[in-house]
Amino acid sequence: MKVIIKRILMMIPLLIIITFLAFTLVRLAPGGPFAGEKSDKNDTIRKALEAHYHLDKPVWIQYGHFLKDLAQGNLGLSMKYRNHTVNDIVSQALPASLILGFSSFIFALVAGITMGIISAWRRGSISGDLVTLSGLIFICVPSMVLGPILILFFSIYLPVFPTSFLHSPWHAVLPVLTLGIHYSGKVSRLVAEGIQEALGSDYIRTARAKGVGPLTLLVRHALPMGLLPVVSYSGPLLADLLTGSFVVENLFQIPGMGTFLINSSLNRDHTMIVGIVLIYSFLIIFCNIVVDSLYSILDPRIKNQSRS
Amino acid sequence: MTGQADARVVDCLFEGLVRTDPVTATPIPGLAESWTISQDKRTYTFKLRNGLIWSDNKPITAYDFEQSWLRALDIRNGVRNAGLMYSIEGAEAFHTRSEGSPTPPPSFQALDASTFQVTLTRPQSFFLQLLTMPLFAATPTHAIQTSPNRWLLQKSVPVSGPYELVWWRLNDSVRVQRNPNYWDNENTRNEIVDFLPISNPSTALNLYLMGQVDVIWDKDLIPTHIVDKLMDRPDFHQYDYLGTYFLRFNTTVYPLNIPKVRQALSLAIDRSRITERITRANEKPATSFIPQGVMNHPFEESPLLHDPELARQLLAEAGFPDGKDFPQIEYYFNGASSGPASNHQKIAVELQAMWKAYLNIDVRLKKNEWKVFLADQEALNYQISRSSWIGDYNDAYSFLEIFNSHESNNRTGWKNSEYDKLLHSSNESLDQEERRRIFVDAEKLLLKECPIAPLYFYKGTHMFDATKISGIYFNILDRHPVRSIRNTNQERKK
Repeated sequence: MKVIIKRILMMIPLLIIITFLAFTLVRLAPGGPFAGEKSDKNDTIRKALEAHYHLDKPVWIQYGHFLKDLAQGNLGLSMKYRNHTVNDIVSQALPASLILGFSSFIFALVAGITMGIISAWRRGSISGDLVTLSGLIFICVPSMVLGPILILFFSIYLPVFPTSFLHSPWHAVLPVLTLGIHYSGKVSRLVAEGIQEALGSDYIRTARAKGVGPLTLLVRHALPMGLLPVVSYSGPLLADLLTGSFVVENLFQIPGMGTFLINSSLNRDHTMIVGIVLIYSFLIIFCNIVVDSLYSILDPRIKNQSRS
Repeated sequence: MTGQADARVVDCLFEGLVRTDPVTATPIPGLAESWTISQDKRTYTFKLRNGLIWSDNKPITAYDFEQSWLRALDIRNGVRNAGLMYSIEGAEAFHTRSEGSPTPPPSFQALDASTFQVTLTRPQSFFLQLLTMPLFAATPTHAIQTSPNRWLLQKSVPVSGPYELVWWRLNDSVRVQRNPNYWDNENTRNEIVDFLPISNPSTALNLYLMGQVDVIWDKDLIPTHIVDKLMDRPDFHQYDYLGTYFLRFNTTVYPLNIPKVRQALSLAIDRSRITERITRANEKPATSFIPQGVMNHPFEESPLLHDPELARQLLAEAGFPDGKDFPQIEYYFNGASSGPASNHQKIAVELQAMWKAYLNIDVRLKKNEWKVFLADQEALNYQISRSSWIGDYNDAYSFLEIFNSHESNNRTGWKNSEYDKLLHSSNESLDQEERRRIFVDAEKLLLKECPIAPLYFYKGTHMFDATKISGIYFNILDRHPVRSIRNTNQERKK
C-alpha cells in the first residue's frame, strides 16, 4: 500500500516535468499557430493574437501562466478552436475515446486469451495451428488496412454495420474490431507462450505425476502463469487504447482524442498539445500503477520482493 | 471561423445587410430591404426591413450592425479577415491603432434603428459582394455583452439567419434547425440540416454511398485515386472555381532573380501533363493567373505556352546554355501521404523531370510539413515553392492584389511600381470596361515578369443526386445558401 501511495505522489513531479518538456518543445517547433495560406493584411492581427495567448512573453513567463491556470484545473484556450477551452474539447473527445478504447481492450483480452489457450492447448493439431496463424495475421495487419476491408465487407457489400460515427453500440462494432484485433493477436501470443512455458516446468510435471487431469492442469496451474505477462502488458495496452487512435477515429469519423492530438500538432495549437499530452501521461502512469498493484496480488513473489 | 466549410454554417446562422443569390451568387437584399448609393459612389445607406427579430424575439436594429462591425475591427478580438473591411474610411487606422490613442471611429454608423450608413475611402465596385461574407453579418450584441468570449457556445444563441444552432460538436457534427423568426422563413427549404466535418475522403464517400449523407460538398473530399471513375457518375458535378495552383519563384535569390531564368522555367512546363496524369479531375491547364469566369477578366482558352525551344534559348541568354553552370536549385512543397496534398509530391516529381528533360537542369525536391513550409515561404526561405490561391470575392482584383509590392501575401520578393500603380488605378475607377483593361495590363506584366508560374485552375466538385436534391446551382464562388437547398428525401420521410 505504501509503495502505491508513494508512486501516486511521484506522479505529480513527473507530470510537471512532462508538461514542461511538451510546453517548451512545441514552442521550439518552426511555424506558428496563426500562420496560414493567406496572410493577414498586416502584422497587427497576429501580434494581438500572440499577446492574447502570452506568446509574446518569454517561455518561462508563459509556463508560469500555464501552471497558474493548471492549478485551477484550467488547461487554457485552444488556439485553433478559438471559442473553446482545452477543457471543453477534452470533455467532448475523451468519452468517445474511452468508450472505444475500453471496448477494444476488453475485446483484445477476451479474444486474445481464448486464442492463446486454444493455440497452446491444441498445439500441433490443425485447429491449434490455425488459431496460431490467425493470431500472427492479426498482429501483422495494420488498422489502416483492416478498417477499410471491414467497412467494404460488413458495411457496403453486406450492410450489417454502419460505416461511421459512434452513436450506438452497433456503431462501435467495426471500430472496436479494427482497433482491437491487432492487440488480440499480441495477447494470444503472450498467453500461448506463457502456458507452453508453464506446461514444461517442473511443478507441472510433478502435478501430472501426482495424477492431476489435463484440464485441471491447464486451468488451475498453467493458465495463471500464462496470464502474468498479459497482466503486465495490459497496463500500457489500456493506456494506449484509451488515448485514442488517429487512424481508427479518422476512418470511422469518431470525434476522439487521437484526432485532436494529431491535428493539434499539425495546427501548432500549443495549448491543446500540452493539455492532451498531460492527460495521456496521466492515463499511462495511472494504468501502470493499477496494473503493477494487480500484479503483486496475482504473484505473491513480487509483494515479497518489494517488502524485502 | 477559418475556412469555407465554417462559412457555410455561419451563413446559415447570421445574415448581413445583403445575402447571396443561390443561383448567381451575386448580392441580393438580406436584412436590408434596399439601399442607396451616393453620387460619388462612396456612401451606402441601407434601409433595414420592418419587424426584424433575433431568434430570441429581441429586435434586430442598425445598432447591432454598428456594434458587430466595431467588434470585428477591435484588434483585441483578433478577427483574422478584418482586413476585408479596410475599404471603409478610417477602418484600417482604427483597427491598427495602438491602445489609448485618439483615433476617430471608422465611417459607419446607425443613423436610426433601421438605417445604417457606411462610407468608403474610394469607390469599390465589389463592396456589396464583400457584404455577403460572414464578417459583415449582424451578431447579437445583447448576447455578446453577457458572455463576450463564449457567446457562441451558449444554449440557444440568438441568430438572425434562416437557421438556429442546435448543437456544435467538434469533429462530430453541427446541427441547425429552421429559425421561425427569420424574415424569409417561408422560403427556407429544410427543417433540419446536419453538417459533418469529415476530413477523410474515403469516409465521406462511404457515408455518401450508403445514403447516410446527401451531399459531399468539397473538392478535397473526393478520393483522388478514383476520381476518374467517379466522374462518370451522374451524381458527380463539376464546375469552374476561382482557385489557381501555381509556383512562386523567390525573385531575391540567384539565379531566380534573373527574369529570363524564371520565364524559361515556366515555358518548360507542359501543364497538360500535370492535369492529365496527376490531378485527373478535368482541371484546366492554366492560361493565366486568374481563372476562367472571374469578373473583369477576359479569359483566353489557350494555355500558357509550353515552348521548350524558347525556354532553352532564354536560359542560354541568361548565361546557362543547355543548362551549363546552372546551380542546383530546390523545389519546395508541403506534403502528405494521403488526401489531396499527396498530389503535391507527384507534381513536384513531374516538374523535376520536365526541367531536366527540357532545360537539362537539376532541381532538388524538398518536402516539409504544412506549418514549417508556410513559415519558410513567408520568410522567403525557398527558391521555388508550391502555392495556391482562392479568391475571396468574384473580381480580378482578388487575385492580382496579392502581388502588390507591399502585400503580405506576395511572398516572392517581387516588387514592381508599374504593377502597383495599375492596381491602384483599378480602384480609382468604377467603369468596369476600364477596370478590365487595367487588369489585363497588370496580369500581362505579372506573367511577363514571371514571379509566379500558374499551373492549373481548380475545379469545384460536389456529389449529390440531382433527382433528390435541388437548389444547388453552380457558381464560381462555390456559394450555395443552405436555405435554398431542398431535400425531397427528407420531405418524403416526414
